[in-house]
Amino acid sequence: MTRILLDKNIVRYWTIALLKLANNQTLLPIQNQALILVQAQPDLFISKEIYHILTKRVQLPQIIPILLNQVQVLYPSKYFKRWVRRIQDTTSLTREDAVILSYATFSTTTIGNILGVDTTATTGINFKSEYNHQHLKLQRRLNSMTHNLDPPWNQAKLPNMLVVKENEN
Amino acid sequence: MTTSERISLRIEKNKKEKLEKLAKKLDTTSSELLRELIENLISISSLYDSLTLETIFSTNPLLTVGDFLQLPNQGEKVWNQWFQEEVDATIKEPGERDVQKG
Repeated sequence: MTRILLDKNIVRYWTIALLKLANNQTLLPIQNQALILVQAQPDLFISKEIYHILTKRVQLPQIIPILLNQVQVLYPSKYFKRWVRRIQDTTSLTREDAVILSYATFSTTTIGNILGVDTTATTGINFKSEYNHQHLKLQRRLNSMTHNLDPPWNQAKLPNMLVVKENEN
Repeated sequence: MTTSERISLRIEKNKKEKLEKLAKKLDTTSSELLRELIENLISISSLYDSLTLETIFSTNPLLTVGDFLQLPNQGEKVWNQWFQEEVDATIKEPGERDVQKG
């Protein structure tokens, strides 16, 4: 099963889609796409930051449990912070994008049964573009960082990038 | 802290206090009007911090966080602001978890 990490915008569109459905409102195409994505994928993840936003800042008791029932939460693992710095050294990605990318490689669940995910789903065209552009450099930096590490760290990998296009709304 | 920084901080504090006072006074029965007012207020204030938003949500039962998130521009800005604040906390203290071997 493909493990997919949802970025902040996908979760926001998903939240709004659920709100609109609850109120019999029409969804924008991007909200519909977010909904289709999450309904089609069984192995979904969100970062700790998004979990905090949903549970501490967004007070929507009729919506949030539905979302949380369909996702698992990822927490930083060892080497997370170091990889954020190296991503920022290697690319022009924003700090927030670097954090999401680092989650895709160096994160785990509350029980620590996985290391990273297979795919990051985002609406960020620039995020994907810069990631693809610097992929070779990132791969080299990850290899040099992990090749002497013990398992499971030496199996850390870069994710695939799945873009849901925002301009289709 | 320099004099200029202190002045800047004071101005921001005054803006924030004014915004919070205005938010508390809004008691219109028109949710559409209320949304418009809140959106305008926040768009001119450049203040999106959680305390201000909590004041708005807690003092205006007609405007829920769900309504706010659906505002075309402000909803996204607020969400991004929250995310940045959460990332700040993670970078400061990641709270790294162990991964099982094998």
